[in-house]
Amino acid sequence: MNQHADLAATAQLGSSMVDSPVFQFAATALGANDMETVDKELTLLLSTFGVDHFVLYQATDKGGTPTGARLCGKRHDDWRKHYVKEDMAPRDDLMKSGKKSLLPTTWSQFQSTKKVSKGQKKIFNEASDFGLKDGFYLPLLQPDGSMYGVSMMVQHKMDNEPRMLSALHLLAIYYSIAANRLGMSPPAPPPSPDDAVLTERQIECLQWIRQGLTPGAVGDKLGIKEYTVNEHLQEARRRLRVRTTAQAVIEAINRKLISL
Amino acid sequence: MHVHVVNASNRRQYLDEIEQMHRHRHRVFVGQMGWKALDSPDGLDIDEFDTPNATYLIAIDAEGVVRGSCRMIPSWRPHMLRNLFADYVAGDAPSGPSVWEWTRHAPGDKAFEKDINHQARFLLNIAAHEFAASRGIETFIGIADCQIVPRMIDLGWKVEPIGMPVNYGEGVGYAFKMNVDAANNDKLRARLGRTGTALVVEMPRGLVAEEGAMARRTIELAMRLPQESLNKAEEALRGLVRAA
Repeated sequence: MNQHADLAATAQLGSSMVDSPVFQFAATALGANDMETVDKELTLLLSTFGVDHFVLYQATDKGGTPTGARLCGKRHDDWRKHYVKEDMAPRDDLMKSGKKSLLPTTWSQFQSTKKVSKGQKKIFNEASDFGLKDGFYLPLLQPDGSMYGVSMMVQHKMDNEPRMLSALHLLAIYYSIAANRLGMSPPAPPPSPDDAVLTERQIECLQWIRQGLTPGAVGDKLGIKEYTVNEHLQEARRRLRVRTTAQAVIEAINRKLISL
Repeated sequence: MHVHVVNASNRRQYLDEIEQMHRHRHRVFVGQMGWKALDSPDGLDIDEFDTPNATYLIAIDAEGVVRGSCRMIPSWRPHMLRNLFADYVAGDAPSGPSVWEWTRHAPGDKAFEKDINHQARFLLNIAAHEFAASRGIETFIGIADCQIVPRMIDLGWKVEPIGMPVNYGEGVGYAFKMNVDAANNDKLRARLGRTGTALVVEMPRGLVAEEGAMARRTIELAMRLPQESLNKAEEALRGLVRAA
């Protein structure tokens, strides 16, 4: 039986088969002394739903800026590396969705009910290339105004069966409660814009712009879309606290981030 | 600010505060949380469970202004989880002499100052522990909005689900139970910076209603005495009530 069939079968087993282990996990989350125990139990439980990877992360900081800083969870290493390398957080609209609604959603629901930006579509498409076809997402508003999110990723399209989604919802709530109880916190915020370190991609884009290439030509050089180049340049301008790309190039040269 | 225990036996001494409470609840649930189903043209939130079975914990400040409240109903009487939302519970909801339902929790108000809300929030939770101790309550049950649960956990309640999250019309919530832990009350007191046990004022049963206002004032004054004097005053008062 493949995972998708597993998941569907679990959902059809009836309430007690689904509810009891979920309630048991809540008890663990309320009483465990370490995150390892919680992660272990959740890993086991989520595998029955066909969920292989789950992460609790800071979606946006208290200023509303997407950070994607991970607190804990069982991540998909290759996807995570790619996500960070490509600096996807700033264009990840799913992470910002908590501003409008704190209800859980799935990637497929998000795409079917919202006008999805090109940047977001690209993230979903690239995740799919890494074998992550769908996911569950729950935004969690924090007392300081920042937003956390619990993300659960699967290797097939979710069938949005209500009982299963309710179970994932409850698991996500109690996972975040456990993380909070056990003192998990996001890594230190990135350096202030004055000390901003640009990502490898942003530096590459600025370097080619410095050499006179247009964003479209830079895209061709790097094998990425013009839209993505513009996203990198926009984020570089923000981090360097300048208005124009020309100013960003000068600032990057002054900070020895790119060569003359 | 004190939390007063108001029920069928002493409600006549709190008529003004009870109306304030229903108005406050409407302001909070309808005006601020947007629960349209509770909207009422008279600006009062009153439902079919606001009956003599209900006991209210009402946070009232020194000027007599209601700053928050919650409703407690014994599980052997009609209550929301049994009569309205039984299908929110997987299996049977806990019930029995040591189980009460906690609903309509409305601590503070966006219109109040932050410090007042902070006090109301903590005092109501401390009062709930004291009320539980006075009634032999071991478990509270209810329905919590998913967004509220982390705040309950922050206040030391171990909120255990007894049902899956459901859309209840005004948000997504789930049925829960939570056991009363006296040690948690000490932590709450420490966090609020309050000591002593004089947070809950409960009118002794049997006081004559017409004399209620004076009796209530007497008790409120007595509450300001040192604990030792208070114990003596309370003992004397109970003696008077027994004699009456």
